[in-house]
Amino acid sequence: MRVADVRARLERLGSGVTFHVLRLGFASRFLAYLVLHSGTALRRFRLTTAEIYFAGVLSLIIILVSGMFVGMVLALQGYETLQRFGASESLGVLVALSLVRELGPVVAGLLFASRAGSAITAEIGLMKATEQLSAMEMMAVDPIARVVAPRFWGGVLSMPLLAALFSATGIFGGYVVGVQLIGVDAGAFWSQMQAAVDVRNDILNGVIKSLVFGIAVTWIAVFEGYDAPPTAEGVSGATTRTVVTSSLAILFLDFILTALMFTGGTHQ
Amino acid sequence: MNRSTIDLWVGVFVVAGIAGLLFLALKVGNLASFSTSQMYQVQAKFANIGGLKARAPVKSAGVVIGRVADIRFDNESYEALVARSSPPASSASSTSASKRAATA
Repeated sequence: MRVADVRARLERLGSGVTFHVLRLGFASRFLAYLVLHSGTALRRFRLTTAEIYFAGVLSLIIILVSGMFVGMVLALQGYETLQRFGASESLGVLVALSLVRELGPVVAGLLFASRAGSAITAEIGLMKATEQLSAMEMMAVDPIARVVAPRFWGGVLSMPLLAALFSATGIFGGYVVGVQLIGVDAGAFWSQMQAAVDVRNDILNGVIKSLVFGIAVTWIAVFEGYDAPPTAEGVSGATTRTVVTSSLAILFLDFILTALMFTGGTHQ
Repeated sequence: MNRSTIDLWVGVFVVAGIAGLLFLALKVGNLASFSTSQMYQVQAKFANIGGLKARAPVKSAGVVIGRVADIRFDNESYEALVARSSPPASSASSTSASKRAATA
């Protein structure tokens, strides 16, 4: 009895692991197929433009408002701590480096996953559930090239721009609170920031991070939508999985990228 | 929505995104302060570099004239070897420039 019990558990564990490895393999094959068949999306660029509108332009409000408030909170909290050490002039450095290196790409990525990623999954999943994708195949139109690829490239192109706008509005918010409200010297705020923020080490690495997050989030979103069980329940489950998986992927990738970019070397 | 309206908004979005990147590079970062003029390298030896780091500004009379390019350990003299690049106009500052000037 007990042996059978242990055996059943082991089998469940094994089938669970096999299922996820299989899914990962399918997702990788899906990505490769998608990239190889994105000729249509890039040649008929209007298809991609429409998706940039849905993923990027419609996410602008949440990105800009969140960036503004994150920058303002950073300035308030940073000033509180820095003035204890008499270093309140370095407020600009704190706000700019936190935003450009970490918070910009990560928070913009999380917002992008929940705002645009979930929408992409729900749209593709519903297209599959209502057999629109099968209908396209019947007409000899490749649904991956026509439906999935434009959404993928739209998301990948939008994400770095959204993260840059998040960081820029955040720094502006930090300026409003730090300089206008608290009264840190404006010259010190900007000049210390410029002395400490390096274009290649900090800003370019932040852009690379946001590009990686954009690829990860959009890949997960289009895959979950394409792989969703064609039922109402399946689509809702896939949408939830997109947000959960891509948020975890962003935080995990951020750790890896930070470890690669910002430790060791000349930048201690 | 109309096709051209979508194109217009995407165009606005892309322009705003690039403007954000430019703001980060020029106003937040120090891209504007990169000198395009010919630089030459000066090497200096210090018994102790204190808190000196690579990319620290090198100043003469308070004006930034270059940046510390590299800090190495000299195996023969057991001293720190600091290489810094300066524009040719500032040839007045020689290897005798003190560490204090470099860290200031």
